[in-house]
Amino acid sequence: MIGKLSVWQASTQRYSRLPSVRIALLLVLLVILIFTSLSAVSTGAVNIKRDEVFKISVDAITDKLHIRYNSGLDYAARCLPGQSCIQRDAALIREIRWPRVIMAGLVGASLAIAGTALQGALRNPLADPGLIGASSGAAVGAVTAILLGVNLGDLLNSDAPALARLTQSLFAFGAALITTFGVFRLARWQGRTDSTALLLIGLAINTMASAYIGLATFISDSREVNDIIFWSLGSFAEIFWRDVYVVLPFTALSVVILPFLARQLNLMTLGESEAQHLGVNAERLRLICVGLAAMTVGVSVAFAGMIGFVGLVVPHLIRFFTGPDHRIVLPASVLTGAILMIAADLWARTVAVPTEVPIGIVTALFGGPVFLLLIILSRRGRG
Amino acid sequence: MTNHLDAQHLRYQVGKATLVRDISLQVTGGEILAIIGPNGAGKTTLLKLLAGDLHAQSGQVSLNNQPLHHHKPLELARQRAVMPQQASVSLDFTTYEVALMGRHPHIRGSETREDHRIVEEALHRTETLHLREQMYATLSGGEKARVTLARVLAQQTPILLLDEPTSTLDLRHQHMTMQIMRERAKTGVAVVAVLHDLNLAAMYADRIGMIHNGQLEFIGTPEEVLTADHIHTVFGLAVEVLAHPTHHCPLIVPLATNGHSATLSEIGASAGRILLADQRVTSAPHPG
Repeated sequence: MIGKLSVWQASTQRYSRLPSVRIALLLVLLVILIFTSLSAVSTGAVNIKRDEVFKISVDAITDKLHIRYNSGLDYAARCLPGQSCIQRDAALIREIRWPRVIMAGLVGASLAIAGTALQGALRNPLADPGLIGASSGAAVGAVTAILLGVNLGDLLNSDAPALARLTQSLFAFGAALITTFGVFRLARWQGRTDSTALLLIGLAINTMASAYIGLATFISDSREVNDIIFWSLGSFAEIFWRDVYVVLPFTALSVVILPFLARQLNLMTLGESEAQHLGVNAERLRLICVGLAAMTVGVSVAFAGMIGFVGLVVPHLIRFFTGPDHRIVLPASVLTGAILMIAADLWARTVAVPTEVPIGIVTALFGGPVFLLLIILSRRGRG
Repeated sequence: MTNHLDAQHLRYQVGKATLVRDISLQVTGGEILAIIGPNGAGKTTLLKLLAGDLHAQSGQVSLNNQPLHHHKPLELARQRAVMPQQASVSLDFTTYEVALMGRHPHIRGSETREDHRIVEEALHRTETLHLREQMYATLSGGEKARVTLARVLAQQTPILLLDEPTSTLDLRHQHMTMQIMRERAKTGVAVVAVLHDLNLAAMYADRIGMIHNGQLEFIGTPEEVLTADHIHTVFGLAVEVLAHPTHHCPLIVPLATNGHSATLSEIGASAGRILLADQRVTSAPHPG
């Protein structure tokens, strides 16, 4: 089994050079993404047949059913025994399941493409959005908001829980940008950025961040601890359309811009001066990649909490099958990151009904062994 | 093709150490300039200054009468290619993919049939075409150097800067590399190569620059620069300069090791020691 996989890996490495093969692979991933999304939308406390999901989704989005939807809690009341449940299902699908599934997809795509871009731009296969301080910085920001009890609701004289969460998200996003910028600034020396220093400084910052979060957990009351656990382990519960609209533009920015830099990222593997000899502005390339990664990861963490391992493992997983050409690895990691995160979230919310397993635990639980397997397999493949 | 690289009064220092002090030189299309000198003389630093990797504290490098930093990176990459001393690749790219990277400055969008033809030709010329589907990381040092040479050739630039292109190569491939440089020079390319092998420089270079302690001590034709006197001053080694039996160039034969003359009896004695050591090894009983 292992031997066969290695042979297949060696042969696909050549074929992934052909544009037609790359397009075919992306189409296959796209089909899997659509299938996974529909499965995730149809599964939950109320199971809806998969062929109905599509129809209801289309109807719900075009608003044929004139759903009046007030809050997430009273949808069950609409479906009385003996009556059609289509109104309830449509509300459930449109207002709860789709936003959650789409958000999981966006966050998975963001983390994966950020990881791929960072590993390329920093010439280090261990680079991960978590490692340059974006994730831990965001968590520190959110935890600070919780500890200080800051709430936009106080300013607006409102006690809506959504405002407390929004405040935490703003703190998380701001802190993610500040931390990444700080790490980048510290690694800059005499006008050049040393990639190894960047990762080591990120590691030091991460250690401080987790100490801070641990300390915060230690001194908080139980309600605050729940919030802190959400930030440090991640969750897609209570995600609504308004959250999706905020994250979407950031993810889109990375997904649109980074593939244009694919060939330059390939050249970076030769080394920084070698890439420069071939016409790449290495410093600018790195700034763009780190900046985009910090933004997309920061906004992802701000809404879904810290979710580890996806940004590290997905690029390795893709490269194992396609080879290291960023022209395929970048778009493929977008789709694969989305697929895996949607699947992980589906598992997280259905495996221990009525509670949910934090998504960060699921990604680490599956990501760890997969990463280990990839390391062993690629070592064999290399002979 | 106007290709003219002009360095004026370059000075470069790191901390208190001055690595290059007041070096001026020019290279024009059609010639090979070899840079020689002992370890730490500043050869690589000079090449990096010429390539634009480092910026001189004073003095400047101009390419076709324009200061180097006035050229955009991509425009510069179409003018000059640089072959580094060691070339590692951090991800598992194949030999062919690495060589294809040399085409980057010329590719818009996706690579064309012409790009593939140029890369195959470059791999063929450096005798590495048979390695095309092998992982670059698994190649030997000499093979990596030849693939890197292919990548540099595929860049098709009017100026080539090479940092010890032959240091990891076997004898035949050393000469193959220099012959390729001669072919390129004949088509109007300007070549600057840092070399350690004085005889290789003597055979193939049009001019030689000899560097010592960050200074350009001598520059001129091989006959002018490679004299026993100059070599003794700069390298601290006694040599005899003979005439090459078939080429019109000097042939350098070292006479001494460790700063004193080796006598024939010493050579004989050390040869005897090696022989004795050899016998000891072969006559030792094999365990098991």
